[in-house]
Amino acid sequence: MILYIQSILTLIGINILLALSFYLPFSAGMLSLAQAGFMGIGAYTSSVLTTKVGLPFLPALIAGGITSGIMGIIVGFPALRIKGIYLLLMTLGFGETVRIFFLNFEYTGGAYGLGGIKQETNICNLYIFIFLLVIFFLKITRSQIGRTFEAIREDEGAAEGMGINLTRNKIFAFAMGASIAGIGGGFYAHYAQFIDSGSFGIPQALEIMIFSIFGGIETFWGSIFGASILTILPEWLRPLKEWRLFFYGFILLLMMILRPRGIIDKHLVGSLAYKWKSNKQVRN
Amino acid sequence: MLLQQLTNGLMLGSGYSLVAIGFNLVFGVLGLLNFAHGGVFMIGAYVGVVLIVIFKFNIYLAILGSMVVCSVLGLVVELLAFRPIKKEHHLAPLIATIGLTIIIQEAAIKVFGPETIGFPKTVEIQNFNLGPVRISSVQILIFSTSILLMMGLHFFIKLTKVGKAIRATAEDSQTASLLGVSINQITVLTFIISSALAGAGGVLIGLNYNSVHPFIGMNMVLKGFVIILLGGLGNVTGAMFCGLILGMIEVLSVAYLSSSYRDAFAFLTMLLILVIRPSGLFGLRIHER
Amino acid sequence: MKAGVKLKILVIKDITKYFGGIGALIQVNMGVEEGMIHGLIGPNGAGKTTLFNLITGTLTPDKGSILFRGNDLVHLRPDQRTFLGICRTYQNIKLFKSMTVLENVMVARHCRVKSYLIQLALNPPFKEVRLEKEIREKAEELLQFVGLFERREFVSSNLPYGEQRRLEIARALATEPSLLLLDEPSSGMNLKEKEKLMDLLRAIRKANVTLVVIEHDMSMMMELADIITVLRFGEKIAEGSPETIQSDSLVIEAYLGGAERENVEGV
Repeated sequence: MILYIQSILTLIGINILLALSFYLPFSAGMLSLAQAGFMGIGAYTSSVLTTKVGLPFLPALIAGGITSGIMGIIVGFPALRIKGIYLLLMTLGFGETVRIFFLNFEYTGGAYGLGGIKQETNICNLYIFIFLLVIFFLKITRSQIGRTFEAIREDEGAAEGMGINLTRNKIFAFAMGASIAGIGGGFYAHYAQFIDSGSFGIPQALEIMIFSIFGGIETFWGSIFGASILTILPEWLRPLKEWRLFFYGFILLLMMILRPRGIIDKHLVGSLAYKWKSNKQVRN
Repeated sequence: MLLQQLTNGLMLGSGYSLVAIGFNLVFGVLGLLNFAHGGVFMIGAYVGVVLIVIFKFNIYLAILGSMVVCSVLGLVVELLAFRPIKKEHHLAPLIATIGLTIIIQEAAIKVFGPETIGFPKTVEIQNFNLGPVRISSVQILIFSTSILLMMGLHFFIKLTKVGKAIRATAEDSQTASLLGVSINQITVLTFIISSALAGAGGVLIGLNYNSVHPFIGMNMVLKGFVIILLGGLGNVTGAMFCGLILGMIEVLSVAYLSSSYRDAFAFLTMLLILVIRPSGLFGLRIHER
Repeated sequence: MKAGVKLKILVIKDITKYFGGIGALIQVNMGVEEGMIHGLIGPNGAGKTTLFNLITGTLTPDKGSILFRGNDLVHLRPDQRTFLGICRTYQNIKLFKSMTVLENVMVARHCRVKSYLIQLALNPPFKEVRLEKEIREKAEELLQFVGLFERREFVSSNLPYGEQRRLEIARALATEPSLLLLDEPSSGMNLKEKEKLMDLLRAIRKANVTLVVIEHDMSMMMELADIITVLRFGEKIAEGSPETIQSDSLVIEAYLGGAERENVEGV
């Protein structure tokens, strides 16, 4: 039983990382379906470093994140000029290219995948990282950076007119998102102990996007919530056996009709924060 | 031989074009990437099989029947995933259609089972020699039906009053509605037309590959993405040409490279083109929605 | 500085811009003197907003050059030009709609405030960093200046039209411009609001900001501007003091002769 809960919590943690990696560029107006691809790059890089080069987990994980980040910068430049749905499809294409690359790359196992990865991920290191990431997002949101991203998302032309350097900010958001996805990939690889290109394709890319949109696009808490609920949901639906996926699709459809901005919205976060602050005052 | 492969690709591509055009139509008119298009396509293939095997239809009636059923299905998609969601939410309809596709896919697995089934033999296989190239009667059927339908659509959009209304809505829906166009009706019509084409495409492509299973929808949508990106989002003619091109690329890369590179080629080409010319091969302006 | 010789803060030399076959601006020459309120008028489609877009860098000219304090702007991005001291408001109001009034102005302060990553990293998440406080206070000051302080927590898209225009001005002022381009700032305002606007613009001039104003309200323009340039079909047809312009026959003909052209650029 404990093992089961641990495994669920680990999956939730990894999905939270991935959802946040989607949310960061999204908050600056960039719709990216490349996060699964960046996840794959991070997963393969960190796994190769631990299994073939013998690096310890943490440096390998970070190296995976950095590699993804660099790829994010490279992809980010052509992405600067592309907007909206176009960007969605272009990033999708990039993700697929990554998948097909690893499908054929013999050094990392090609179609057979990469196995024998040590089990390094545990609740501890994963959630410490998530905790740090939440602090990062909290700081960004209520600061210059968060405001700048929101302005870019609202109206790029006006943002530029008010002195905002679009290139620097967008590349930052995109590359950071890529790194976070890469680190998520590293955690995933050292949890599942086996990875292949099929784990980083279009269904996964869409799933990551759905975490954020379903959970709530107005704040980063939405992505955390969405990733958690949608990871647990298939488990809850297990009693439904073969109807499981059917209900999953049904819930997606229903939610988008009822609450298109996602479940968590600014009001909710605002009122919860207000309660927290006033409780704090009462206690003092 | 190269010419033979190109011809094969052309035949296959015509089916792709048919599906891609419908996909692009919805995007051009409504600004929606209709993921459920794949689901409709897949159901179209199954309906074709059912009509031939159980109701003993011939292939032409099966195509027609499939188009009718898929039109209705398209209506359902519009009612469930598009109409209830307000226009200002850009991504919600996309995800709603994803949810709907999952539902359709699961329903198909329930009813038909997850295994691949072959397409029933309805057309006598005859091979014709057109100069250095050999074409089968099946290929002729697929190609001619696709071209016929595409031309029908082309003339419909260009010449009829309704077609003009559709084009107006695609350009500027606000102005169109001020000029008396019922956006609601046009929306419904667009979904119906696009779904009918998807249904026909399902039958034709199922016939070509001689296999039908519940996951061909997903596969087709992804190909559809590539095609409309290459051809220019919203550009129906572009989608047609690029469907043909994709068919040829696929056949060529299977023949000359290993099949796992098949999809890679398409995507790499797409990426390169997007970076060099973001509006696609045939796109004229970038529509920002 | 000798009396009568003033620095030209902005020089527009032989500027030409075509959209397809249509000449939006043809060989336009104009000089803006520092500290003035320079009016820019002309029938619709004359190329006024296009000129603004060329100055701010949103568009690049086909021919000609634009000099700001003697420096050619040609290689500079729009945000770099803002940093140099050029800012604008928009004909169609481009506020950051879902952000509050205060946030709109705060965001424009960023280009004048150094990045404060170390401060941000060291402080706990809920505590306001010192620089952030400075940004907020300056923004509040600007809102006081334009008379929108009470509205600072409102979502900007909920403001009435006239107030949105004032907010755009406050936002532009936050970038500390030396040259401010206003595109039809009084559009949609009633008489009382227009008078307040004129006071505001005079106060801005007093603070040593040079203004170039596109306007359709002629009486306002005549009262406010020190010098007026008149465009028509992309060409400059007259330039001078309000009195000169008022009696210029070409100008009168341009306005009464129906010399209007559909908006060419769609920008």
